[in-house]
Parts: sequence; C-alpha cells; structure tokens
Amino acid sequence: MQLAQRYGFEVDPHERIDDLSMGERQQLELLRLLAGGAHVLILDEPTTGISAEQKELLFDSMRTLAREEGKTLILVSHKLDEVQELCDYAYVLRKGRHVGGRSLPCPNPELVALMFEQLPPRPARRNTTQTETVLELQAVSVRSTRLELEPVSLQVQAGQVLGLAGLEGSGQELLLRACAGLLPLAAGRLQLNGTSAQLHWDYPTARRHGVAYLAAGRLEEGLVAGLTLTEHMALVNKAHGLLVDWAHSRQQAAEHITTYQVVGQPESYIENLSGGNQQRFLFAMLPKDLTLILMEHPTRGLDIRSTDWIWEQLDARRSTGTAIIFISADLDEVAARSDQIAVFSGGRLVRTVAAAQTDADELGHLIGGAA
Amino acid sequence: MHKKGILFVALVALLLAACGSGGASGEGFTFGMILVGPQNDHGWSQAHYEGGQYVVEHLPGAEMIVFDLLNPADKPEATLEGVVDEMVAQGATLIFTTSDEFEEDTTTVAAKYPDVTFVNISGDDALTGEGPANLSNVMGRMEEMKAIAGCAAALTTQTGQLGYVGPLINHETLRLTASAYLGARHCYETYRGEDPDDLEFTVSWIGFWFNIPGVTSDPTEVTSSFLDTGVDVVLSGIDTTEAINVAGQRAAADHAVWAVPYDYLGACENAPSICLGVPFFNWGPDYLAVATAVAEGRWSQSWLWNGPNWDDLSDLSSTSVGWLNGPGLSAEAAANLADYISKLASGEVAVWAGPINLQDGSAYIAAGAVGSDEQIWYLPQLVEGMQGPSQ
Amino acid sequence: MSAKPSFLQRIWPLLPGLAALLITTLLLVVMGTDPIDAYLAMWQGAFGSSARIYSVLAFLVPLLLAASGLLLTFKAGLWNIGIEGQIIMGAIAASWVALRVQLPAGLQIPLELLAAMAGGAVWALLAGVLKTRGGVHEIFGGLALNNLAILFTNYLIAGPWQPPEGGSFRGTQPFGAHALLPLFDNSRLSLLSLALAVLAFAGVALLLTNSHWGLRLKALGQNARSAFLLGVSSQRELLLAMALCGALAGLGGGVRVLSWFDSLRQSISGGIGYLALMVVLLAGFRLVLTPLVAFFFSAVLNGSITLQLRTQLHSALGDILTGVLVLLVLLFGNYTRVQRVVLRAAQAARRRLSDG
Repeated sequence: MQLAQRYGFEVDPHERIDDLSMGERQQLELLRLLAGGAHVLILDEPTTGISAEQKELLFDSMRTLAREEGKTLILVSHKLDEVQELCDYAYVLRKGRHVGGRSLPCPNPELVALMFEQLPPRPARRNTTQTETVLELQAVSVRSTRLELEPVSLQVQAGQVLGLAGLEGSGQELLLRACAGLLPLAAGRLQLNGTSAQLHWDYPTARRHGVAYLAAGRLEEGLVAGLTLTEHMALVNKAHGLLVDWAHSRQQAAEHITTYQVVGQPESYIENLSGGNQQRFLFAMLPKDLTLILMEHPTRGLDIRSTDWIWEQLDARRSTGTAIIFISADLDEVAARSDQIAVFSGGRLVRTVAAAQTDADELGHLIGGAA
Repeated sequence: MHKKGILFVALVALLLAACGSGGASGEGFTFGMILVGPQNDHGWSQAHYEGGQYVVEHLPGAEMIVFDLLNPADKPEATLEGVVDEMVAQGATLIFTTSDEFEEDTTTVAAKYPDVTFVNISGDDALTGEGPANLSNVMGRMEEMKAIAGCAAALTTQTGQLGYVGPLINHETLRLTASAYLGARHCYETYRGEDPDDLEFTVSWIGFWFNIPGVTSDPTEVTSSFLDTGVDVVLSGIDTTEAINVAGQRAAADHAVWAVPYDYLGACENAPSICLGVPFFNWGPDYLAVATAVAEGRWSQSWLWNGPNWDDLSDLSSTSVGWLNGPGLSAEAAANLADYISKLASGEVAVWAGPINLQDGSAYIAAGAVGSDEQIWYLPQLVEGMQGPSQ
Repeated sequence: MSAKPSFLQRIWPLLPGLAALLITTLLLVVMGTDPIDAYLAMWQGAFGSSARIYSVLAFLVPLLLAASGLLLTFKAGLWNIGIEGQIIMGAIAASWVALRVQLPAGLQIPLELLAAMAGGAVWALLAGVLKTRGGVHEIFGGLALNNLAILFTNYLIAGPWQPPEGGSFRGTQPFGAHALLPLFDNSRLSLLSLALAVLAFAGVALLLTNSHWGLRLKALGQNARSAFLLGVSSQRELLLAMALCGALAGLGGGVRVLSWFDSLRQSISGGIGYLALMVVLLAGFRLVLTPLVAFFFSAVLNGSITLQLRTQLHSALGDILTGVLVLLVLLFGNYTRVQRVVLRAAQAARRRLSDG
C-alpha cells in the first residue's frame, strides 16, 4: 500500500481481480513488479483500454520512476503523442527491421515518415447532408450487474457519425450493446428507420434490419479462431442448399483479400493474421447495404495506416447513408471522426456536443465529470 | 487375504479328507463354468466357482474353464452364446450357466450344441419341458436354510426389527425371503415368547443380484438405512457381502447389530463377531455327480432341487445346501436354533405350514396344510406380515 | 509453427499406442502369462473365425452410431455424456413398437428404427433444452438423464412389460420374430444395421466437412460468441446437433434390442455410450480415425473374451488396454502441448539451478 501511495495508485487490496478495471489491474501489476525489485520495465501498449485519468497517473508514475528512481523504461506503442510526451528516444521498427530513431521530442511527421516511408494523408471529412433519422432512442435505460445507465434520448441521422466518449464502464458500452440488441432495454423505446411499432429488439432482429456490430475483442467477439478466411466467408454467406460451394467461397475470400488489402491467404487461419488484417477482414465480411454500424474501439491496437484505411471505409459507407456509432478511448479519434459526440460519465449521458465545436482537451474535462 | 488363504487351504484339506479317492476318471474331460458375478465375491458366484473346483479335485484329469462377470453392465460386448462358442471350441462337453439370468439364453444355446450338456442353475426349463434334452436344472433347496437364518435373527434381535437386503423380485427371491420371515416368526413366538405380529420384517430390493453403480440401489446404503431406523439384524439375499460388511463396521463402533450373510460358506469371515451364521450353497457334490455322469457317458436330463443333509448341515461332501453357525450367535440362541433345526429335520415343524396368507391378504396355504413344492417354487408375492414391495 | 516436423513429431501419434501396449505387456508378464499367447488369443477372439468377425461387427454397429453422433456434438463444443441414456431411450422406444404395434412386414422394422431414433432424439433434446433454457450444463443434465433412462428401463422390465409368466428382472418377453432384425448367418449381426451405421457415419462426415450446417457447428464449437455475432443461431444449431446425435445413438439402442438381444434388457447399453466417448476422444475428434478406433475397440473387447477363456486371466485386460490407451493419448497425444510442458519444466529447473 505504501508503494501504491507513492505513485498515487488507488487499488483496493480486498477487491477481487475480476472486479478491477483494466487500469486498476495494470496498476496492480506495476506494483507487483516494483515490489519484486524490477529495474527495467517494459510496457507494451500500456494505454490501451485504460481511462484518460488512469493514463495520466500511469505517465506520472513512469516519469517518477525514470527521473527520480533511476529505472529504465521501455515503451512499446503506436500512439505517437504518448511517445512524444513520455520518451527520451524512439526506435522505429518496420516489418521486423530497425529502420531508425529520433531523439524526442521531434516533429510527428518525421516519425511517421520513418514508420511508413510515405505519410498517409488524412482524409478530409465530408459533412453530412442527409436529415433522415435512422435511429431514435427515447428515454432508453439499460441495466447490467454492475451499472445502470440512466435514461438516454438521442437521434442519429443517416450518414452521421456519433462518437461515444467516456471512461471505460461509464455506460456507453451498455448503450451500444443495447442498440445492437445484445442487451435488453430496461425501459424506453428504440426506433430504427422510423419503424413506429415496438419491435422485439434482439441481435438477430437488429441484423435483419441492417445493423452491424463490431466488438472490441476481434477474436473473442467477431471472428472464429480455428476457421480459415474461406470458412468465414462460407459462414456469413446466405446458405444455398445443404452443401457449401467451397470454390465459390474461396474465390470470394480471395477477392476480399485483394479489395481490402488483407495480408493473408484464403486458407490462412484467422488467428494467424495481425490485428489490422483481422479488422480489415471483419469489414470485408460486413453486408453491403447497412443502416447502422456499431463499433467498440474500431482502431484499438492498429497502426496509423490501418486506422486511416478503416475510416476511409467507414466514410465510404457514410456517404451512402449508413449511420455510425462508435466508442473509443482515444479522444483525438472521437473528436476527429465524429459529427456528434455523446459524453458519458458514471452511468449518465452528461452532454451531447457537436464535434466541430470541441476538442480532446474539452472532452477530457467532460469525461472527468465537469459537466 | 491371509485369513481367506487359511480358510481355503482348510476347505481343500477337508474336501480331500472327506472324499478319499474317487473312482471315476475325468481324463480329457473339460467343463465350462459361467458366472454372473466375480469369482471371488464371497457370495453366489464364488460358491459356484468352488463347486467347480471341487469337481476338479475329485475327478482326476478334469479341467475347468471359467468366465465370470457375464452381464451386460460389466461386459456389454459379451454374450452367453459367444462364451459358449469359445468353451465348446476349447473342448468343453459340460457347461454350467450359474444364474437365472442365463436361463433363456442357455435354452437357445443348448439347442445349438446338442452334443454338449448344459446345466442351468435355478431355472425350470427342464421341469416345464421348454428346454432341449441336453439341458438340466440344478438348484439347492435353500428354503429351510433361509428359515433357519430368519430364526437365528429372531432369536437375537433386541429391537424386534429385522431387515432383508433383497436382490430383484422373482419367484426364487420371493420364496426365499418369505421363508426367512416364516422361520423368524416361528422362533420369535416359540422361543422368545413374543407376539409374532410384533416382529417387524422389512424387505428392500436393490434391483439386481449385486451392486451395479448407477443401475441398482447401493446395498451399502440400503443396509445403513436399515441400521439407522432401528433394525438390528440384517439378512442378505444378494450375491455379495455388503450387509455384513456394513454391520461389522457399525459393531466396531459399539452398535449392537448383527448380520446373516448368504450363499458362501466363508461369508462370515468378513465380520465374524457379529455373524449369526450363514445359509450356504455347496454345489460341489451335485456338480461332481453331474460331471462324473457326463464323463462316463451316463448322464440323463433332470431337474434337481436338492435339499440338505439333515444329519449334518455342514457336511460338505454330502449336503447341497447348509447352515453354519456364526461366532456372533449366543449360546442360548444356538441351543434354541439347534432345537428348531432338529424339529425341521424330523418333520415335526414345517416352514410352510398353514395358515399362510399372501401379502395382499388372500389365503394361500390353508390351516393344517403344508405348502407343496409347486406352491413354494411359484410363490406369487411376499406373505402377510412382511413389509416391502412384492413387485 | 516450425516449418518441418521433426522425426519425433512425426512418430509422436504412435507413441501412446506403443506405451499402452508396453504397459499391458508388462502387466501380462507380471501375471505370469506369455504376452505373445495372450495377444494371439485376443487376435483369434476377434478375427479367428467368421463367427468372431460377425460378433465384432455386430458390437461395432451401436458403437459406431453413437460415435458418429458424438462427432456432431463435440464439433459444436458439447460434451454429450447423456449419450448413454439416449441409447437406452432408443432401445426403449424400439421395444415399445416391437411389443405393442403389429404392422405388415415391410413397415414393422422401419417403424421400430424410426421410433428408436425419435426416442434417442427426444432424450437428447431434453438435455439440450436443459442447457439452452435452464442453464444446466449438458454433462450434469446428461448424467441425470442417463440415470433416469436406467430407472425407466428397470420400471418397464419389472412392471408393465414383464413377461406373462412373471418378473424375472432380466428383461421383457422376447419380441416376435417379425419384429426382429434379420440376422446374418446365425450371428448377432444384422447387415441392415451395419449398412445403416456406415451410412450414418458417411452422412455425418459429409455434414461436417461440406455442409453449411457443419460449418456453423464448427464455428459454434470454436467460439460460440463470435458465431452468434456472425449470425449463427446458437440455440437452434445446438439443439439440432443434440437431436441428431440422440437419433443416431437411439438407433444404436434399437439395434441392440432388435438384433444383439431379442428383448429389452436391464443394462441394455451397458456403457456403450461411454465407450463411444472414449472412441471419439482417442480418435482426437478426427473423422477418418473414428470408425477405425471404434472397430479397434470392438475387436479388443471381443478378443478379451477369448483371452479370458484361454488364459483364465481377468477379463478386464481389454478394458485396461483401451483405458490406458485413451489416457495416454489424452495426456501426451498433443505433441506441441507436451513440448511446451517439457520446455517449461526445463526452464524452471534451469532457473532453480541458477538461483543456486
């Protein structure tokens, strides 16, 4: 506990591990290593899945460890801002080779150039012109064993991107899953495409109505480890007859591999693909005409190029009228990619803001509860 | 194990001394012995196994092939026919199928091998004429021995409650269980001077001849629940020795309980101090007679329901069934039991003397009459006064 | 992910078999029997005459049917331990038709077999519904249903279906000749049932490798959550897999009463369902290996009858051989896993040494 206080960590020693958030688990793990007398700490993507507040705390403690206690810290990350903020020197690895390094801070484009040979241009966002309401929530509340989301009312227009911001476990996940039909509504009504009738809203119904859901854990919720790309294609194809037309599915997989630039073969097992390629393939499997795409952390763990590619795809879908709702822990992403942003804190929708009128800093404050 | 070994040596020595030199020669004579349970169960199957060994001892040159545990729960892949095929292929000319489980299949297989002699234990196909000419039946007339067992229990009980661990319900088990009750009733009244209607006699059927986990009730649990509910003497009617084992454990914890095992001469060994005695089968002499007849080519079909040697219930060279007092029987009870046995032997007392009503109250054997063999063999249900299901 | 399998890796699948053989041989030597004689007796017991071979095939039929069904449920990630009860209920349903329904010759047996399949399927669906609706794990539900099926058999044999001459507890009265499967050459083998078993296996193989449904089962078995999100209706497919498995197992039970026996008996299955589980485990859930292993089991068990009669050894030897084999394969059959365990142990030892 002494150690914990020194770094400002707040971990209840009597809590069960299952009940700790990712950030708290990370703090616990750091304490465990430090108590064991570690001198060199290697952190692999440490900010993935933790809240902004926890990230600040983590960075403070890392600075203390390096500057005051003389420990060596190695950070593995694809988030350039973090690298800039925290590190003294950056080594850049590309395709298994060490391609160079820079003393920090340095301009971001220099690092990106090292990482990608050429800098991928960030696409300009088009403004939505459609006004047709795709999804309307009226006083929807959702309950889980750990949290109850207070009634939420909002609308999403065709072609609009709604970003859900908030600390992990603030209620935005509940809302997203309720929209996907994966959690029952505790109260309120949900209307899709103006359907006034109260539908029995479950996941198969949502799918039938053109709603797609992409979860954060790609191999846990989305792809099936142990199945090849071809088998995935055959699985999502509408079944014609009893037997699978393997040649057709294989050809489809091959086409998608080309179109979506997936590094892999039709015979590759999905778990052997990198995270970015898995995400690309998930996108490849989405049906053509969708009303609404729901996503948790769509670019978590991906490099900049895959991230941009994903948003290109989403933009293309947007232009045909597909609405998008997504959750991200990366506030820059939320600020940059959304039209509207709904900010959650402590099981409550605290404010809905237009993305054009805010930035990551303001969002951070809102998330912290400064409504 | 050691005790068992000594007992076995003693038994063999006794057999050798009793018989001397048999005249017949069994050179090249092979017989098969098919058991429903394990050959070392201290019960039904072991009694048959040792009956077969008795033949090997007394018919010089005779060879026995044993197959045990032939039942669909232990060996779903084995059939009586398959086992008999192999035994015949190995030269067996006589095959004992030692369970009523095998009755029907034995009749079928006997028709397939008319040159081989089959002996089915406890069946009646040779009596009813359903069986082919090469099939005979042998059964020990156990009813009086069971009555003696019941008597020993009634002479010992302090609570007036007896428990009977029964196997499954058929004519044989009904008549044996009822015999035990009738003996107990008689002795409770005659020697204890009690009202026989006060004697509680409860039967609990486990569902098969021995415990098959998941299929039958567990005889260990059945016995325990008897002893937990006031029963202080348990009688076993199943092939194996759980009843005496459990009673022995209770007695070791200073409970006043006793047991009467069944089938096998040495069954008291499992817990001698609380064993009141054992009604046992002694298949050896009957098996030897059949084997000798087959070996000498003078066998003919028969249905044998052989009784005891009333002059000496423990003479292993002559008696087909018997009774052996156990160390747990008090001197006073032993004296009374001896009196009962002598009266049974002389015919002064009959186990199945009327009036006897069936459990549903209907009259079965009239006052003054004694049950015929047919009446006893085909007893349709338990008799009046017994507790427990009749079907 | 090494490119080329090492020599050890290539012969690895054979090792558990060899080890099991070695253990059994040692056991034989300790018991004072010539192992060559013993194995010869087993061989002759299984293949020594045409009657023996028929017996091996006759016992194979229900075993293969049950194992084929289990391939489906295992693929869907289900531990269908209730297969034993499904075999029994199939036997009971077939017996009901055989005892109580009188049909023209061409219809009697088909109806009995259909009833057997329905009986097994219903019992399997019960376990399935307990899982999907009641949240009862199929292992516990299955075990309970197995016991219920046994109790039901006992009740029928001792009660309503007992032979008219009174209850021996052994079985019901034999069915009429018209209700029994025609037997081949005085054996217990029904060629029709053998053909059905082969057909069933082939059907299962086709379903699993080439059908949309088989692919959905595979996805469910690998990752039920992802499969659901990809649009696989988990409840429906799981129940369908259970029902099909139960139907095949029930057919096996029907074959058991209609050809192996001639009536409903106590312990009608006697553990064939559990044996089938061992077969599929030993085959490592692989399609091609399953019928081979089932045949091997039937041969070893039949052979051990002769082994006991020839050598007068305890007949559990066949059970021991197959049991040890399954255990060894489960423990060591997966080369990469063993390699990992050995490596980890070596690392731990090295660390302990260096720590002093």
